[in-house]
Amino acid sequence: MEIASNLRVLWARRELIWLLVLRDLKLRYQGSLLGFMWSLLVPLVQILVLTIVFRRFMRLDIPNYSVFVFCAYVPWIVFQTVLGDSCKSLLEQRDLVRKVRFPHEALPIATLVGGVIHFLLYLAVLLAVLACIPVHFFPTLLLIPLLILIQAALMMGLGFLFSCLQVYYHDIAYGVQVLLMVWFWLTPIVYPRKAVPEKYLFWYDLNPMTAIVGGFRRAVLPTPELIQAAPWELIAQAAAISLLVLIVGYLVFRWRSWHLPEVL
Amino acid sequence: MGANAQNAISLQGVGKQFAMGQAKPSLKTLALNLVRGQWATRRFWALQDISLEVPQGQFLGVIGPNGSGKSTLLSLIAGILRPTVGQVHTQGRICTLLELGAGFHPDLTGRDSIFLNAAILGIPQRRIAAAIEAIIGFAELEQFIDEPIRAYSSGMKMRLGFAIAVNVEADILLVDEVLAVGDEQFQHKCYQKAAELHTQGRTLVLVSHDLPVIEKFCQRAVWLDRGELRADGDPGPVLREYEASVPHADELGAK
Repeated sequence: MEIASNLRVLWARRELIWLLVLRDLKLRYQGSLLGFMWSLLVPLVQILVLTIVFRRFMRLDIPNYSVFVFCAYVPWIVFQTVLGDSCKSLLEQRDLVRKVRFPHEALPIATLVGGVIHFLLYLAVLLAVLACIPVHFFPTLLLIPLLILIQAALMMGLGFLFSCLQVYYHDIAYGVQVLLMVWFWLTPIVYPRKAVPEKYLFWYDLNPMTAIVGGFRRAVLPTPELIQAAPWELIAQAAAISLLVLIVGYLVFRWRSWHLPEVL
Repeated sequence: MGANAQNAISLQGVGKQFAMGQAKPSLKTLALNLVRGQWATRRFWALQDISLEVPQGQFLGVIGPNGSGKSTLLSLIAGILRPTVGQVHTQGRICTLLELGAGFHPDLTGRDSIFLNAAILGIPQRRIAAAIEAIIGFAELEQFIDEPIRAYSSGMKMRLGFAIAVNVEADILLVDEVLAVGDEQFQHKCYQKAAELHTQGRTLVLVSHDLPVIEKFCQRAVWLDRGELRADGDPGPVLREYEASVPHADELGAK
């Protein structure tokens, strides 16, 4: 019941959330000549470097390797940015939290919405690039909105958790950087999932990003091999885990919410 | 409720306890405390046994030395903090006059800040869009409203915060020690506005060290001392009693 009323309050405050999103976007790109181009340049350079290293140096035999990486890197860069920003979302607004009554959830939610907006912009670039490369468009692209939804749930849950824990322990932000580094290599971004030995797969697949990244590949390059790499069961499992993370994160945040103005 | 429906603010036996010392212990202190077996943090009562009924339309002045719990009281009324014991009830929409800087990001323009501030206070954007000219006019910031806030003087920021607070039609206005910053002319304007709010039947709680201001505007004053209500009543007697207890009160009172 308390949760239902909290959700109603948040819905009533959607204008605030949207203004916070706009403010974050404005502040992020204000005063830089290239603006959003920077957010684009970083992943593009990264993809270029990865392609050269893994394709030319290591001779990884994967067709369309740059597209293979690109599909996976788009959800990853959003994931990484949102989690990094989430650690700051409450801490940077300490004045607000201490001086005004408003639903604190609005802050990490605004971080997430900003991340999803970037997600859509990256996707537009990905699809534009694909239009120039001889890969075909398939109805499987319709899978993408579902994958975004799953990833948004995962990011929101972790965002609630990290933003609120960071208020208590400033170690969280450092820990998250380490976590993200490990998480990057434990997600099939630069290599295919089939490179992972069978006996590790149970644990490996508990990472929802495995299915999300695989799902993106499957949506963009529906070769039998890539479809097999991200079967529906895997996507369903990722959805369930993400939902669980969302619920846990939200409950932890609700539990600490009243206490936040006292410790910030 | 029924009996105190005409009370804008009602506090019953309210107490607030805070944890003391490091709110955010480092891993090292955490480990040390663990070794020493010190689990419990020290706590202290910022406010104790406060009962207060503020009828709708009353202007209440809150005085007391630093650290006596004045800001905690405002935060409890605003619903930012939850009382450790007791009950807080309020009727109507509350607006906190933000302390200088809160809600104002230095890189945002004055105009953007107005919208963001209003959104944080829960005021619909269309209403603020209708009131924006009045706000800018009241703050006398027509020339600077599209400049980033970081270029504003503290007086300008204060004017902007005040202009927002009095133009959003809150039922209860909570003001924490900000009026002192404006120049004479703007202060005069604030007083006029305050009188206007009074005739409109709004409720105001003013925390201030500026005793003459409290005497001039408030129908009632409460004196907080170390978290307890030491006096409550007509501003005149309460202020004089307070002044008598403070050494060099004349310097303090004369601003």
